[in-house]
Amino acid sequence: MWWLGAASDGPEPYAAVQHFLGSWIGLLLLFGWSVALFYHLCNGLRHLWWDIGRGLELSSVYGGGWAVLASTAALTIVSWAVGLSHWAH
Amino acid sequence: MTDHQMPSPAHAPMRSPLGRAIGLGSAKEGVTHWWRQRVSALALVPLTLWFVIAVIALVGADHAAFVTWVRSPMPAVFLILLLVASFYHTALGLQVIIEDYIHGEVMRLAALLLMRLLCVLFAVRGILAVLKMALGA
Repeated sequence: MWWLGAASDGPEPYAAVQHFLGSWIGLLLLFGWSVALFYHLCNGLRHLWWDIGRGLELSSVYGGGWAVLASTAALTIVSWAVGLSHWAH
Repeated sequence: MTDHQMPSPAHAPMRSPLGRAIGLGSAKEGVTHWWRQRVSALALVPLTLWFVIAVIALVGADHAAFVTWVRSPMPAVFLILLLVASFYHTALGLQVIIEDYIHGEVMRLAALLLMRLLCVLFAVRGILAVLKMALGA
């Protein structure tokens, strides 16, 4: 919201937001946000799968839990690897 | 016990036949909230993935590049859909947390109203920003 609002307000506010997000505290916040977002997304998909009545055996529930953690880690790592390499250029 | 079995007096249903047919339960809204939460979640899956990819592609973009991106039609459309779906989904989720954990009736109502207000406020602020960039000179 802040980012969109600043962008719509003009180049200076936008640059200020970009500067903050590029600082170590900004990056840390973005990193935490990305982990939470990916975790919520993966676990949300797991719940939607349960809601249609699939994967409710105990072994699948455990497996799904690990799959959620693994895909959260994978999505976070891939996103940051691509994003940071993009940033370096 | 299945529905068509005759209940024994000891297990007589507490619900009237009419209440059962309408199926809205004690909260008087049935599965509406649950269903809306699921539908908004489903809508958010592609929108979120799109947004993450877009943000990664925009890393390091200057203001002009950013505005140009928003103005190309699809980003503006998807951003507005994302804002609506995510703040709607947020409001539904926070509503459940507030209803479950805030016990005083006055406090609960106040928290629900404040939460709804903030969600609407943020969504409108975001949509306005997108429209300003998308339609601005």
